[in-house]
Amino acid sequence: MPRMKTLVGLAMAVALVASACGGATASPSAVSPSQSTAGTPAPSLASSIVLINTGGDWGACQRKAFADPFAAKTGVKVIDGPLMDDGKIKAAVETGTYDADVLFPSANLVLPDSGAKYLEPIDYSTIDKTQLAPGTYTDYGVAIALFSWAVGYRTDKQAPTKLEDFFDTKSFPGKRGLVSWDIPTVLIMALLADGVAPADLVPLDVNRAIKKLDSIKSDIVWFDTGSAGQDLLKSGEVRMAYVYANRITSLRDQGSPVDILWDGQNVQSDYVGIPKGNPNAATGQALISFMVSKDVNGQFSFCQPAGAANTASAVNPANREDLPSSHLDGRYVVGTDPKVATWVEQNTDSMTNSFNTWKGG
Amino acid sequence: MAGGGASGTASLGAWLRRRSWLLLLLPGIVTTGFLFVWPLGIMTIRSLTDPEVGISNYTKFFDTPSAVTSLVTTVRISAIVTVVTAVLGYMYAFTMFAAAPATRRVLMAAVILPMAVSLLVRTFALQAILRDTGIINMALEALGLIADPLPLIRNQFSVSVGMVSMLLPFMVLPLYNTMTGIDERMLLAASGLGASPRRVFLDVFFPLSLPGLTAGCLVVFVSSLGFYVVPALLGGGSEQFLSQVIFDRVRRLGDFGYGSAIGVIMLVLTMLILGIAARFVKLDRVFGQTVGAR
Repeated sequence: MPRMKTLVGLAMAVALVASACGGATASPSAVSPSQSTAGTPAPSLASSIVLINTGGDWGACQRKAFADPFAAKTGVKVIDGPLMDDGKIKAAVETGTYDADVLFPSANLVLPDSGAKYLEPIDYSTIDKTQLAPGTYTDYGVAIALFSWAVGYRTDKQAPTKLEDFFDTKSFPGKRGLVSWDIPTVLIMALLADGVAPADLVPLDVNRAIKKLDSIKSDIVWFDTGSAGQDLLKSGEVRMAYVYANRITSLRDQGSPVDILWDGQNVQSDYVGIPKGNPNAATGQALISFMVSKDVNGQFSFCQPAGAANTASAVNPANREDLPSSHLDGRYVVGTDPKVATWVEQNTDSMTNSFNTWKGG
Repeated sequence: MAGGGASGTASLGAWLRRRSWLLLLLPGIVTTGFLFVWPLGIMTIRSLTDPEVGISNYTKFFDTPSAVTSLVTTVRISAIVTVVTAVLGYMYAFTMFAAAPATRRVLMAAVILPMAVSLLVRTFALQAILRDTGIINMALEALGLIADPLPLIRNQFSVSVGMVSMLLPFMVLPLYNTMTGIDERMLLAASGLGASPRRVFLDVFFPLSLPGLTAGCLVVFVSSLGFYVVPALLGGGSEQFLSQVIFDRVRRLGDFGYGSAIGVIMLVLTMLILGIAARFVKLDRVFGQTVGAR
């Protein structure tokens, strides 16, 4: 162990000196990671890199599982950046102001058309694609973790056993929480509950989904953020809510009478990507291939109930049951799958209009 | 040319020396220009050029039923809020006006102090009071007065309650200010000439307090149009304000052109209302009078 620490210290010292000589931007004289990383010589790295960190437990876990080990291994300092959604990413690329080097684009932004405009292509020469879960990577983005939308329910009342129960307000009276901003997720869950097989989802039958939702319209409580949805369940304001599964897990662990119904879960890729034209792209690529590598990727599940995107990577046996990836034997859909995302991107306007017209009416 | 230039510079210098007070305006002009005129200009241009040159963003807005509904909702709820605030605010300001100095100070503090608490915090507090598992419903259920929660939240009612509570000070302050500016001798003269208290109020006091009422209504209505937090946290699915539509288009979809167009529509709407109001009220008095008088 002491020897290990010395090595790390040495690497960091080299990094400091090299960055001092090489200037602020990535330059050929900057430090290289240890050659043993992927077998092939890695590209030159900058002295520091900005990775979006959304804070909270999730952010702390990201730092512990990904950022700090990367810094220890390569000597590249990983700095936390503020959340940037697609709007901000587009603005950053258009104005050439790169506040972050590795960010979290949506499933729409990593599709070929918008990806080519706003993101650097992912360098798959250092990533073993065969280990990645299907439908969780594209030319412009790759998932570092899998999370999911699932039904969270109050355990102080009769527990639902299938997604259909979400719409059965006779047998399960009470309000239902649904997210207001993620329209495709809401439509997809309504379609699944109406009997559409996951394989037949695309193209989404928007009218059918709205008709299904309309059957419980007066019982729906719309929420904006994950914490607002969590709060609805915690206070008992709703009996069931379709929310992020990890939000339910953390509520349950804090002692709230809630649990997860995995039937009809909507698995989502936590994509990472690099803004187009970013001078720090090479270091970003190195960080991304590090995060999705077999040895590293599963580490995230040791501090958060998120599934590993690298299926070959070992996950935490202690919270196996809480991981979306452990329930793929049941009914589920990958909502960020390029096939679904492409349809959503091409039909965003008409879908949003129909949905909002119904919701506002 | 050189001579002309020199004398031009000299006279410009002299002109500047005589008007050195203009320099005092410079920080204001630069700040307003940089932080207000410039971004608004960009926004307007963007609404006409993104994704293509033309008025497509505007036609899209008026062709989208849900967007037009939002516009109507925004104006309708703002109008309701203005009327409710005017009635409550007038009663409050009049009580303050008529009360003894000690009571008046307490009432004044009750109006001003909540403004020191963040709007977000106050909205969350209202959420905790109004919701199905909130204080009111839980108490009524515990008392056995109701079986199902009253619909106090996620509707037009809760949005209006929230906005009225946030905007009440902006009605009370100009009203109270106008009331204290009314010459009490006129009221004395009216009652001295035999008018009943009711007639003194209706025929003398009320007309003289109207400028304050108009000012308050204007400020409240125009502020209401841009509200975001209150409808977002207290509203349900069908009370979407325009500001929420803008947020959704820009933040979630990165659709700057359309978002900008809605912003311009709101701006034009506000200017129109101020323009119409300007025909009936002296706007400089409206915005200049909250300080001063007594």
